[in-house]
Amino acid sequence: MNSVYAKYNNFDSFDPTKLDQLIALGKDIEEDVLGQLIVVHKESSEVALSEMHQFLKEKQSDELRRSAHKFKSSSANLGLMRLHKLCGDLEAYIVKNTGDQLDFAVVKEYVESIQHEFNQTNQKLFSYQKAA
Amino acid sequence: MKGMQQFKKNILVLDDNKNDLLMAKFVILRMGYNPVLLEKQSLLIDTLQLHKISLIVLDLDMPGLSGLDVLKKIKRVNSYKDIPIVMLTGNSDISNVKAAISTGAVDYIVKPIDPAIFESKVKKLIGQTDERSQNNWIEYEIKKSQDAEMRLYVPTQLQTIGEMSLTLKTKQPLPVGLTFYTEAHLFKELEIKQPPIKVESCEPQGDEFVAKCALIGLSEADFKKIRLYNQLLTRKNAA
Repeated sequence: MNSVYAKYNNFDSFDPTKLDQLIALGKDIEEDVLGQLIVVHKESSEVALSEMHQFLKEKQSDELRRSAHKFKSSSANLGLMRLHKLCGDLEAYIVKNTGDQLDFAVVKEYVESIQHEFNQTNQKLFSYQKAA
Repeated sequence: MKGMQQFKKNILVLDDNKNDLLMAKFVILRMGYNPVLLEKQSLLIDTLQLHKISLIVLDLDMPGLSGLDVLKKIKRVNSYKDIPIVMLTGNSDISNVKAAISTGAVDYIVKPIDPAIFESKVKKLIGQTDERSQNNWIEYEIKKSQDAEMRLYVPTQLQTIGEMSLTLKTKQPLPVGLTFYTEAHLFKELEIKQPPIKVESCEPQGDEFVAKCALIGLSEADFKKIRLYNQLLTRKNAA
């Protein structure tokens, strides 16, 4: 992967305690909380990612920031901590660097890293759900 | 079951993020309330007309009309201005929260939604609404001023402490009027039960902020401990 992603190697990808919390919540209300959240996360993330790639092409930084912000929140709900951190850092990078200061090459690396991490965690999420 | 549903309190959540909306729904269901979920601001007024809402949970960062704009809109309508509103925020930037609180929001919840924090805040606010409708408003206002609105997790550094007030240094500005608890170790050391603290002013100082706060609800014994502490500190500094 790229140099941005490399910085997150020591950051936990996944927080299983968060998923256990969701499973417990599901038992309390007799609903498949984890399953429903995973489905919505997958759907909304695919939309967010395709938007991010598009906004990157069009260099629309504010829209990119908003997509990263949305993605950040839904990742954290499922304990996807590395994805949460990557999205949060991309959001912060865009907020901090306005106009000419914003380097879209760096933004591209972030978007690619987010895509990569999303693909990785998707598989983990589904296997955790099956095991639960 | 249908009858039971009618008596459940309705909690409205407005958030453009489906995942957060779903998360809030599950927690509200566990609390025994009825979640009313909205993804778009445009449906808000219709929803408020259709349901009797006990509490609104409002996302701050939404496209189009921001949470702050929506909050202002609600506060302008007489029939809805008294519904307590809690802001949901995914940003650590406290200036938006400060603006929301000075516009009339009663509290805020930081995303990602932690079920335990969400439950405790919502329960407390729903309880206050009940109390307000049951007791007279003077008692309610006194109790409200005695209750801290939140636990402060931003790092603070205690600068000075007097019998009625203290000064804290923080990395982020604190909204004037906010009542909160702090994690200052001094209270533990002096064996004083953590008192609620109310922000009276907050001024920038270099990269940081200095907040002057009032101490609420200390006993005579607590005052003595603080007096003694200050005397010892003065002697130590003199030496």
